[in-house]
Amino acid sequence: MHLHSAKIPRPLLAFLAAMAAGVPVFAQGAPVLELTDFSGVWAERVHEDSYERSGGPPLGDYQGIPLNDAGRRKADSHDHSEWSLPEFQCRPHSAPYQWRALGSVRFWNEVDPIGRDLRAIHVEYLRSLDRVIYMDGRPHPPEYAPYSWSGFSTGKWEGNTLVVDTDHIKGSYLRRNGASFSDKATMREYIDRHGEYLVITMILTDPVWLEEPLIQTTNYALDTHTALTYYPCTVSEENISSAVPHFLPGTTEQLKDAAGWIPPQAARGGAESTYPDYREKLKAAAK
Amino acid sequence: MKQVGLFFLAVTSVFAQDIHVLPVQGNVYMLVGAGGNIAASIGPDGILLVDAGTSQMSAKVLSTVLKLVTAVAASPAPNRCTGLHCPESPYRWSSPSLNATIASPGPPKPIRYIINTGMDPDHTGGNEVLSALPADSKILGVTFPPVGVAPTATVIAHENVLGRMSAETNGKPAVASGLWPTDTYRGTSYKLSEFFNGEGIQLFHVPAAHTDGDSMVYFRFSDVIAAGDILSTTSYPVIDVAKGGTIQGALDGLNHILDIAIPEFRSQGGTLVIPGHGRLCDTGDVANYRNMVAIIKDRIADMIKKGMTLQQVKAAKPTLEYDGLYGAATGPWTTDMFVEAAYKSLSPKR
Repeated sequence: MHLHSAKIPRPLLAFLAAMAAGVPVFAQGAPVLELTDFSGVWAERVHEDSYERSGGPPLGDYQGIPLNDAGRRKADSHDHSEWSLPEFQCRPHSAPYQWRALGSVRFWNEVDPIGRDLRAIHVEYLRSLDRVIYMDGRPHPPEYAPYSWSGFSTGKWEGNTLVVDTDHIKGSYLRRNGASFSDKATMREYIDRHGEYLVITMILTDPVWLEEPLIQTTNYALDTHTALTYYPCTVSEENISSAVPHFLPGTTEQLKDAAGWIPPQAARGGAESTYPDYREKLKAAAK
Repeated sequence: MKQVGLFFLAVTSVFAQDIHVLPVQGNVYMLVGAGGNIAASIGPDGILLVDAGTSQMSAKVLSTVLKLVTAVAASPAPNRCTGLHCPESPYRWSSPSLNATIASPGPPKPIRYIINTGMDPDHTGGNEVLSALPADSKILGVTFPPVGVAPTATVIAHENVLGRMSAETNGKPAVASGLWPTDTYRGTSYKLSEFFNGEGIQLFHVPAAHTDGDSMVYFRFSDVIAAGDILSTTSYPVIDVAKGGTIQGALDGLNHILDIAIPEFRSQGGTLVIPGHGRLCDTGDVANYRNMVAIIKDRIADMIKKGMTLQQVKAAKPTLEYDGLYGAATGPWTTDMFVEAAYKSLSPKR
């Protein structure tokens, strides 16, 4: 059927064509259309992210993380007692770790009350800082500006997908067992809403501790019957050593834990271990 | 709003000169690009600098801070004082404020103090030019020195800085006298005798760290610490063993910063820390850096205890995971030099 023969008025035809192409038809001289609204509280599903929730992975298990030798050394030296340092007792999860951390996430839009344009999307997590994704086209700050645990994020739309670029992130943990990313890491996220489900695809690039970018997805579901609760934190400095807890190279006894249920070399991470072909290599090595 | 707009103008013009200005908080600004970072207190009392950059950049530093003080403290302000909204006057009379808007502003005050956090030329090279403003010359249309103001800035440092700068070899001082501090202190801390730009400013001696003459400077109302060379986000701490530096002293200095600093929320914000080199920091950054120094120190100390030679220690790569952040194979402060300095300062004295 030709559209012309369907007797659709030309203005409506143009409108439908623009909508089909994902063009914000009211953009000129009118409020910009917001393509997808993520507002609300979303609860984690504990699917592919289950390994990071609750008890978390054992020490020394870096499977799925493309660590390089330097990143492996950093992780192996980790002592969980570093959380006893006064400066770290209230340390929040950083943006790259947060998606797979405990608790729900709340999105809300910061909208100009007059122009109705979307200035920013705010993302809040149970025990972390308010994270702002600027949507107003502002540039990223210069290198000498301060870094934060959430980093500095700007967003743009690609179709209905929110694409977020983040830099200026303080170095922190990528996995609770000490696998980490450095201050030089940058992150791109693709955030998609499929009805009542949210999919976050994170690509973390770190030239210091990763051989290749780490790519991971995490799911959330809309939860209209929950709210983020108050999560206080108090630093207690009593009975704490002034030393910085860590393991000297080669002395981390707990690394043996990781080898208990998967091949030891797989637990060491690395880019090669993140690809499906690696399974065949392990099988061949076991013969 | 006025200050933001004027500041933007100042920053725009400053950027073209390769000196970058970052407003930190309160009275304090961070100047980047003059060698070591410079902290500047800008306000109605004039300018106080923590460090002076290299001698090559001193003209640009001077131009930058004079533009800043003109924008912040000596530009017309919108008159917000009328009738009942005029608390400045007990008579609700707005003329004084109105005059400030319609008349030419008073001249800004010049550089009054320079505090040196150490003795290196990238922090002291501008001392002479920046402290000795030409008498009766016009800079940015302002006559210096204004009536009643001392013609030169006071340059303050720990006494070991003066001792090492003035130490003679073959009858010649290590550094030309024009670059020496004019005032020194010898205790563990020193307070400026009066508020400057409305706040108290305190110096702390950091013994045996980068050298034996390091200071860090605490702006008590702005809540900013200028750390000097014990903190850098671009390199391992520079430890000049020949001038009394030690890795343990650098670690103690970093812990002292963390003792003073209070984060605003969750190890972030609050007290801000200007490093000797690199980006503006807070508690979380200093803690990460302190942890790196502590871990490397512990490793090298353990290797020394096991009887390893310096070459064996270097071969064991005690800095491996941090080299991508702070290491260098060439330049004035290489990873090898850092390991060697740490090794020497941790080895038992013979």
